Amino acid sequence: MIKLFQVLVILLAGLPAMSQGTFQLAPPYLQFESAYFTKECRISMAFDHPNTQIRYTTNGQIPTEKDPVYTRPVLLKKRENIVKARVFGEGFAPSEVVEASFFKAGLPIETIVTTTPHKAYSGSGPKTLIDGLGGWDVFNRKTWAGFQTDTVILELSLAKRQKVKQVLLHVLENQSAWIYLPQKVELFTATKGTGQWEMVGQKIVTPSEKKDQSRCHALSLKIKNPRKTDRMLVKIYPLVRIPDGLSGAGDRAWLFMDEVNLY
Amino acid sequence: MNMQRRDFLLNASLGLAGALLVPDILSKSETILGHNNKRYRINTRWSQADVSRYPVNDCHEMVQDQKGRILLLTNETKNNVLIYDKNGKFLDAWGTEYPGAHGLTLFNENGTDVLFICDNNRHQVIKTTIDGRVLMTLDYPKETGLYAKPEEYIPTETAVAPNGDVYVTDGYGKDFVIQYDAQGRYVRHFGGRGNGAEHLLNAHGICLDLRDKTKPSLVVSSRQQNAFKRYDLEGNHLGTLALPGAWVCRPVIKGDYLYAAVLQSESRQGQQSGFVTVLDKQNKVVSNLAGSVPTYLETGLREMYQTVKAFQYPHDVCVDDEGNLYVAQWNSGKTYPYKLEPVP
Repeated sequence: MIKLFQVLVILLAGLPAMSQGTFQLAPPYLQFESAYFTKECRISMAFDHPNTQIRYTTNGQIPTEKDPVYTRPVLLKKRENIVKARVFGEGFAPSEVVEASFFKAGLPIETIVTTTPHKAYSGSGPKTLIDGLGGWDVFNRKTWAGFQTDTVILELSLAKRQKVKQVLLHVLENQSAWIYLPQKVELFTATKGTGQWEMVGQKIVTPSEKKDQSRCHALSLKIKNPRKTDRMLVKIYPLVRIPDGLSGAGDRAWLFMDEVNLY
Repeated sequence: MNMQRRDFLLNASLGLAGALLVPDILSKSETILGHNNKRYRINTRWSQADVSRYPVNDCHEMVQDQKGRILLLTNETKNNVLIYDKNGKFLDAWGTEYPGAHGLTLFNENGTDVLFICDNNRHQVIKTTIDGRVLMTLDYPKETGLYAKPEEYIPTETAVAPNGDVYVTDGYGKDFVIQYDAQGRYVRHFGGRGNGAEHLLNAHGICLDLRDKTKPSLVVSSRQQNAFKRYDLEGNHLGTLALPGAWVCRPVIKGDYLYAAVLQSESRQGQQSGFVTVLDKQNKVVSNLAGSVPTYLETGLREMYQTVKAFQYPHDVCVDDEGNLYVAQWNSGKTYPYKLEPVP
């Protein structure tokens, strides 16, 4: 009899293990005018659900329950800034981390000529990549130029001859929409006098792991011992064949870009 | 010492066995979703259908028949229609000929339940008896002069007026609403794409609104515009109801309220960001299940979004005679519908 009673107690103790589990909160929503700014940038966060708090960091760390609770817009001024935020609430698993990076404008680019984007994703026109607008992870916004070609070439002219130490290319990764990071980027500057293109930098991008989220990335190319120049050429090699096991496997990937910065 | 340890291990394994033996009915979810007077306890284990015998693919739409049974339409051609009782007990299944099964509407035709199925792949609307016998098939509407071939027409939903007239939305085709009489004869068409208030973009769902007895009207989803549009029964546009942020599937009216599955949040597309919205008779959102608190500012309704990852891509809501909700989901890992019971 005692044994039976024990078994019953144990059976009942098993109940919580069988409950339908805890749902996870969705990540908070970051709101901003653009990820690219000239002086400063104001980030708002939204998550309208009772008894939950948004906690955030600006030091690159994953927010924990010890980090500050969001109460008012965050002001950013550094050249590169990263905001990470997450929601906590009783009765729910904490959300995934949402993050966004914000960039101060670099050297002024006077003109840009690019490979023609796909007609369905032509952005806001020829100046899409230098209009200072973008940073949203939603691919059908007009800030994105989408390409489906073997190479994408950007030819930039600067307002005056100067040293360029770094190039940032702002691209999107949204695997479910077949938008992937490029496999390689090459950087050239025009040699004074001859106007010949000289390769000054290269970046091989590590192939992506499977990801569910849509995310903005800044691909950075640094130039060692930069010389003064007023013309630059960026040659981007999109992923020609999406690897097996990923969304769109075997097909040609899309390249989406919304801004280019020179520093 | 040794003995105690053995007892502990025994108890631990019994505990585990206990966990596995607890019937589903006792495993109530603790999670309550929604706001104001429309709050619900979610049950993700409602369906008791045997997955090896009665699988589902996308679960598109659900209705309740006059016997109180719950019918689910899926594009799994082993069994396009699954029939349940309200407790999730599997009762019956039929249908193998609807590879693009999408829209399911029930109409009480002089006391008899009939169904209208929209098939995306067949480019047809099929009227059947409650047990699947075909009564009428509507092909692509060439009478409109707007369609050159069946492939241009991808019907998603039907609504049936009290006089038997059938309204079909071509929600994945050209976004027209095509009206037929009860015998299936073309009457007129309206909507379609464009920049006018009367135009539609992704006319995914439609229903009759008979809440105002003197002025029956049609409510049509313009899903990519995050809105419902209202028309009279002759297709004249009466108004637009903006639902910022919400990809609303079909409107479902029960009692004084309008319910709709929201496939995804506008600001988080392609990321399983769906929820369910409920509007009152004054067209105000009163509750979002797994979504943000509905807030009206001077500028209108604040953009809505998912807050709890309870659903992935909800595609339809069925409201039964006791006020329970059943939510069917598209592209959500072949998951069976969830039931949500109202909490006082």
